Amino acid sequence: MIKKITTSRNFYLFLFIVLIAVIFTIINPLFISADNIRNILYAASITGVMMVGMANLLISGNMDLSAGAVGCFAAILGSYMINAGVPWVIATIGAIGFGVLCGLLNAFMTYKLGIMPFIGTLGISNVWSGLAAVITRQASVTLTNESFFVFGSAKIGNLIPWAFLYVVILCLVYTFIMKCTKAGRKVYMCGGNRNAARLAGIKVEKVSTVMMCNCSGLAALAGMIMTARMHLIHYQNLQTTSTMGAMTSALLGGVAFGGGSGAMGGAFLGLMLLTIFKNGIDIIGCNEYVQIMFNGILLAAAMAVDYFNNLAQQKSLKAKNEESAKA
Amino acid sequence: MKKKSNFFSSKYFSLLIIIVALLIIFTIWSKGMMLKPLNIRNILNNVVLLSFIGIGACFLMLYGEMDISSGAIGSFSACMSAMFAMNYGIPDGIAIILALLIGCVIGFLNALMINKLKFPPFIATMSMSYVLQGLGYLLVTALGVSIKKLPTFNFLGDTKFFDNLVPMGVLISILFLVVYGLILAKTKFGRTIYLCGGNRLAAKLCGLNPTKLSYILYINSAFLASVSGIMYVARVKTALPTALTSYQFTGITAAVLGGVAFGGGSGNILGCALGMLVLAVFNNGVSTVGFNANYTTVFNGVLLIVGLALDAINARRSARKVVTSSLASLSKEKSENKA
Repeated sequence: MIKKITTSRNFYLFLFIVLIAVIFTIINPLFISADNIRNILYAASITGVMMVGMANLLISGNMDLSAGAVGCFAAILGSYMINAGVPWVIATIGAIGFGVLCGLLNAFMTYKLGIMPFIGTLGISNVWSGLAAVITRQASVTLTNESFFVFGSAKIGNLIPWAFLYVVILCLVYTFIMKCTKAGRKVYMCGGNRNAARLAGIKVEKVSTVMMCNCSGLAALAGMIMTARMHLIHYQNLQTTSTMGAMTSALLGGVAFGGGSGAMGGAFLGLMLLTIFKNGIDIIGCNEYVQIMFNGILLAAAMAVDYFNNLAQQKSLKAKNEESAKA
Repeated sequence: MKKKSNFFSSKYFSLLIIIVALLIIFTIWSKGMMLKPLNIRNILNNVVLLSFIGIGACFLMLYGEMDISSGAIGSFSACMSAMFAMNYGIPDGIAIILALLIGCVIGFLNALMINKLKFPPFIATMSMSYVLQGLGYLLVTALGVSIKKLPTFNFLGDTKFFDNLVPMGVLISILFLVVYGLILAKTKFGRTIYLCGGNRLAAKLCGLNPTKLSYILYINSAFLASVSGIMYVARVKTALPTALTSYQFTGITAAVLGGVAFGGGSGNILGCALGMLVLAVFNNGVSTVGFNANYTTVFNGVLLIVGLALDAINARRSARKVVTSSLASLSKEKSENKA
């Protein structure tokens, strides 16, 4: 049992997170203060909700670069609804509904029109972010609904925000769905080998469509959480940076870029790694431009992890094959 | 006679019609503002910046891949050249050459990530674009570098011909378009790109080397992006780390609109150039008529998707044609065999 834990990938990821946390604390002890931990958890919760959708989408072998823009646009719509007097629960559900529609649009482009998903969703993300700027006239939408703010900024014992609990709950729920239900296994099969899945009678396009809707819906939820936390939404919030953040954290956590493998546990650790790293860079006094640079470096690093993972997998498969051939 | 009717049914003709129609619509809408000499020069200036990045995008797309970092590379080279010339006192001609070389090195790094580490091209180039943006900010800050009294930059940016209507950049970009068009259409190298883009495995089996080609194309794309950046500095006189952000999408959109197939293997520079003109006229028209600049983003996204959808539908139709024709020939063979 202990051996299994110590040789697992997540264990090393965890050790790595602890290591960089220690390093940042040594450089600047403020890193471990309650305020900063709360900040980290807040930052993790917004990227995290988006990450849950993105990781599952990647597992199913698809991708979506419009998640950030969709989240922002949906949050703007939700804020308008709240300002118009709609109860915030209904407005949030409305925003998520809009996100799901965006997901449907993405799926339509990918599977009906036959556009490659990464460039198609990139185009769509331009459309949403442009529209967001147009309808808000480049100003931020401010909110005054106190009960809505509780949704984003309430915390337990002044340390753990509710918003972070949403991520934990979502991770647990999706772990259960992906690992223990038939539908979840189908998603893995679609990502692992599309043709095999089709031949096994799985409706690949239907599964992919559901996962795309899921991703966009969760992105909209992330947008609403962000709005509730900041009490306003601006058209430049979320957007590409957070899409890439969600994707990077999923990849760092061992979700395969091509789909078919990965799990929520690893993705969660990847998320923590990314958030702690970003926060740490901030707290040791590097300026924000270093952060932009590290966004790129981390993304490349995540892909490198994916590549070496693949390599190791292929090697072990080869060794197994040779063994069985000998036998 | 036959050639003429060919031209009228080709996509170049329809693109030309679109350009003329857009010009007419926007001219009427803006009450003649669109066709004022100053505005025409604006359009031309935009096409110039777009054309270099567009050629690079077109070549890479013919090969079947794409470079999302070209906008960032352009901005970065712009900053580098301005920084070398202004802050370090290097003669500006040499500063330009150094910036172009840096661009080439970045292109090489892109190709290295894609070919050696097997990153998907768009992830590799996207991470590169983040790194370059951050580096650009770090080196020249968000305010950028303004250039003053640099003869080579002034020569590139301020020389104008024909009653001040045609800037130097237009001539340079026409030169590049012609040279690259000839390379693509007439040389062995150009045919290699088409072959590798159309069917990489077949190209490999023919004894070509797609990996080497990919290095050349990524370096080429980065080089052209750097040229774009330098033309930008030469005209605007300020190098910002965000100067050419999102130009890569415009380049890709232009290529897609001009009929370059997204998976690679078909299309040419003429179509790509017409695509650039369509976009430049459209974007300029939208802002001349008085729309908010953000509408341009929306419309460009829509245009990109429309172009891609047309491309996908086209590809499917031609695939169907191939299948039906091969089926027909198969059944013909079968009946002949029976006979």
